[in-house]
Amino acid sequence: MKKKVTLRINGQDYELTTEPHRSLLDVLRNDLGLTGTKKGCDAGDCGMCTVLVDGKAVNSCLLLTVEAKGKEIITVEGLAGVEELHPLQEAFMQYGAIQCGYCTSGMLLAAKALLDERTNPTEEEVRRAIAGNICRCTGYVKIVDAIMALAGS
Amino acid sequence: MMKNLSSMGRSLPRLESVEKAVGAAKYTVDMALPGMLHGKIFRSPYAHARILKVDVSKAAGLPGVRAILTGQELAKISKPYGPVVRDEMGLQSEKVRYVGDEVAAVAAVSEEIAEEALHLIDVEYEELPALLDPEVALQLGAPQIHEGVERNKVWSAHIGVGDVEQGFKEADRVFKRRFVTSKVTATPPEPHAALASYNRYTGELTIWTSSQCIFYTRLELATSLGLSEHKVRAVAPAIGGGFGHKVDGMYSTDLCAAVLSMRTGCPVKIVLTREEETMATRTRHSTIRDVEVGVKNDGTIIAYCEKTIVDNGAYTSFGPGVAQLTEATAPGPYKIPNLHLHADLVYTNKAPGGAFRGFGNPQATFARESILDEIAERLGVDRIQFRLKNAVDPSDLPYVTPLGYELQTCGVKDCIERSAAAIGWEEKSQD
Repeated sequence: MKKKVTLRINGQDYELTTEPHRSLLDVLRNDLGLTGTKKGCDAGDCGMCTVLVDGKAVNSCLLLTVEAKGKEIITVEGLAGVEELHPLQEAFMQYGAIQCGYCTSGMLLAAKALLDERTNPTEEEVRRAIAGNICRCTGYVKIVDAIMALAGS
Repeated sequence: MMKNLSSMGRSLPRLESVEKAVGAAKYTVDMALPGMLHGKIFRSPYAHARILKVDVSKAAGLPGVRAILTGQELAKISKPYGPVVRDEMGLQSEKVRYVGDEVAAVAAVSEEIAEEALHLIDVEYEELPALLDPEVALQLGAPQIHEGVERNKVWSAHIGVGDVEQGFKEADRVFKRRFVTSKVTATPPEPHAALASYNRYTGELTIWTSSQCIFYTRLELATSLGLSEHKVRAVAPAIGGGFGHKVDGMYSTDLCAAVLSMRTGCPVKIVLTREEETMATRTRHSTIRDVEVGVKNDGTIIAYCEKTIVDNGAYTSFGPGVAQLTEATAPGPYKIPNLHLHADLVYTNKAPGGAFRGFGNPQATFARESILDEIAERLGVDRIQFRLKNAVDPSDLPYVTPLGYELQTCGVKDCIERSAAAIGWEEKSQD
């Protein structure tokens, strides 16, 4: 029994029809072509599917699409402006915080959620903010450095 | 000359950084082609069993299912493969050898329908005793996991230098310890995935796959399917980690996607779930290591003997290389004149071991450094000084290792001394 849903993603409205059991992650990736959000485990453990829902970092594999209506959703595709990248994206590139890139979108959004809430976090607070995001390549140091570079700015 | 170089000596962003930072980099899992079908693999729930009967009729009747491939059918059109020992088939037709071993593959119009079709496949098995302990698998009379491989020993590696028996006679003390290292998966963030598209009019196969060795992919697909290499185009897009687990080039995922595409005339994409990734892809080889070390009272190591069982898992992959390297790296950076290092690679009914960063070195290093710590303590000497006494020194260069490699540089002592200083070893070791 498909349901009609309007989702507000990256400031744009998307009208779609979907079965109520489908996760926001699957709809983003398969129906809307927004493949920047990744599926790492589909079980809420790895954080690679992180999106912002009304400013909060959420595992989109655990959110039903129908639950996401009426909310402001931000995916990695919504970070950069028309002319320039988001400062977090610039910092990640500059600090070598991106290797295979699979955890990157989740990390960026978790970091954005933190910095939007507190402009000058401590390193401890940064580490806690990304505690739900697993990285298998970098060892986290450069990711933390990149986020800390924006703390207090 | 150095000051005019545009790249060397400079810190520059990696070329692919921007695409990854904005979420535009395309991984195999992100790709789609018009008319694409979704594939899923049917796996054995048993660790060791004979396949008696495979009935796919109910699954084939499910609306939306476009093709089902069985091991029997695949055996008619493909040849066994493997990097060293060709003991793998994309789908099994006679026997399954670990929980997760591939038995059939389905292509359907959606992932959900393909998944549902798996539940409708009926397979009759005759369960066989499962060998999960390599020491048990190695015993005389143990059931053969692969026909003709006696005691399940598929490979051996041996390194001998000097005279280890004499070395133990001359030693003041001999220490013995058994070490067991575990089976680990690298857990690459992006699971194994393949999107295959066969053009039946030109006979050309194109495959996009999360592969670390794309030339192996092309070679293995061509060889296994009897295609000319120039008719196979293999593309490695952005890859979400591999760490060795994606080095074999061709896996069941790739072969099944390719053949299903040939069957249906449509592109076919297969993406493993995290459960499948953990259960049924390569791992680091676990090992059982019996180490014996002979030392003089002044702390000189004069004999090192190691007998290792390397747990191959159900298929061989890069096992022989791992068995060889795990012994070649056993003495580490220490000047030990008498060595007897032996490894047996043994099949068990578990997921296959394969390449995983370290390739046998981490296992050997763990055992060696652990026993060196113990020896230092029993001799009453400082653990760092004990290592510095035996390690290759710059004045020894060029130094020829047991395998015959000539070390032209060796900074191990520098590393040990600086690391010890960085953690405050002197003060902390007084306690």
